[in-house]
Amino acid sequence: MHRAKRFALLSALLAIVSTSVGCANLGAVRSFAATSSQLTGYREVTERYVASADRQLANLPAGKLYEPNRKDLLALKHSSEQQKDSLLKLHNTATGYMSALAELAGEDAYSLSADIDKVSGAITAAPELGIGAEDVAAYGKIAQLVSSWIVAARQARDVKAMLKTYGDDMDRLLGAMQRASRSYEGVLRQEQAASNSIQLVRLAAWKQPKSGDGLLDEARRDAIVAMSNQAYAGIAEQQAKALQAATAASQGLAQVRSGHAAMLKDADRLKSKQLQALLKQAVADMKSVRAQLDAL
Amino acid sequence: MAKQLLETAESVQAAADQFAAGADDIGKRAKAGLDAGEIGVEEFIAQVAEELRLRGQVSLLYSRAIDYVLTDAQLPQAELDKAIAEARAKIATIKKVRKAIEIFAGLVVLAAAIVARDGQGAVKATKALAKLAKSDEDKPAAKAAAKQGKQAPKAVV
Repeated sequence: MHRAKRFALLSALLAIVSTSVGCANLGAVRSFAATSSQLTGYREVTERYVASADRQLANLPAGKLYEPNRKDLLALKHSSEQQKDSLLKLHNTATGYMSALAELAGEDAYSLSADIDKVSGAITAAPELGIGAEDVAAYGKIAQLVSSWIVAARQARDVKAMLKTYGDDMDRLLGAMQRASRSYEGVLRQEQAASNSIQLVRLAAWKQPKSGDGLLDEARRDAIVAMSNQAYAGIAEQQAKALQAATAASQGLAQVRSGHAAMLKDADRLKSKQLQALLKQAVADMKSVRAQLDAL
Repeated sequence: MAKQLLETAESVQAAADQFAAGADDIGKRAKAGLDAGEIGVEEFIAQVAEELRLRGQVSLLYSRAIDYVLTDAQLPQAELDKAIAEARAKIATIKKVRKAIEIFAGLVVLAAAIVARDGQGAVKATKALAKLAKSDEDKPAAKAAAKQGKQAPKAVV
């Protein structure tokens, strides 16, 4: 009779657990949050933006004609250097939030199974207490089932609470980072265009013969122009890559923001197939952006 | 009104975009004029200098937009720092539960050794509990358990 009751209790618990275990099905949330926490390329592009004024100043021809531009570039250098720490802190907060969410939704974050096994093992090692091996196995199983059921529900509740309480703030932060990325692209585009125009000016100046040039005949001029073009090609390539990186970082941010918005919208249904499929796609897209950046 | 329009990151960036398009036009016109022989090198250089001046101002506008972005982000950022701390505290709570279970398991072993009058087992269990007491978490509980263990029988026949 006693054994039958125990069996019934165990069966009931098994049934409860099997219906509630879905609450902890946070694999997609975990994977999305972990991938997002790498926030593809934002940090590198921020550094590129901050160093833009220095690169432009180094490339700017000497002369009074360019003084207004030099003054503006010095102001840009000053402001971007002042912004740098705050811009990187945006990144740190966004990645910290996603890491914390991934940790909270972690597969073993709330699991007590291994720890309960230790207790079961300890009880088994104490037959003097009058507890048989059969009882230990049954109680250990029950303890594991009950704990997994409770902690799974708690984990889902904690993840949901984090999303609902702070989701809007995260969305605003990601929006701010997207907006900052747009400015990065703008500045890098000006750098690229300015560099191109300066190169044209240099070439035009070289090609124009001036009295007193002496030994600078056409062949020598061509040689200098060719060398200059070659040097500029390397700079132009770096600038094009920087712009591609900025675009990829913007795309990555858009993917993180869109996946996060979907999670926020479905915070009460984190295990829904539709949301999980969307998050898996977002993870794949972010990995693709990462691959693009790595190729640059 | 114009001032209001330039008081958000979005509006400043929109203005910067327009000026950037203007700078692009100046650059294109200058190059086309030079290529067509409509302007000389000196004029070309002067027009490019104008283009560069405009580009410098455009970059400053984009940078100014970032100032607005950073101001707007202050509040959500502070909230999110709180969220990170809360999430870590929750994970820490689970870790404390784990440690408590570990201590409980150690106590069960100790109790069994005491009941069995197994001195060696009691010493081993006490050492294990003392080791737990040295860890960062749950020091008081583990220390109390280890202290209790010291009072276990020392010799067994």
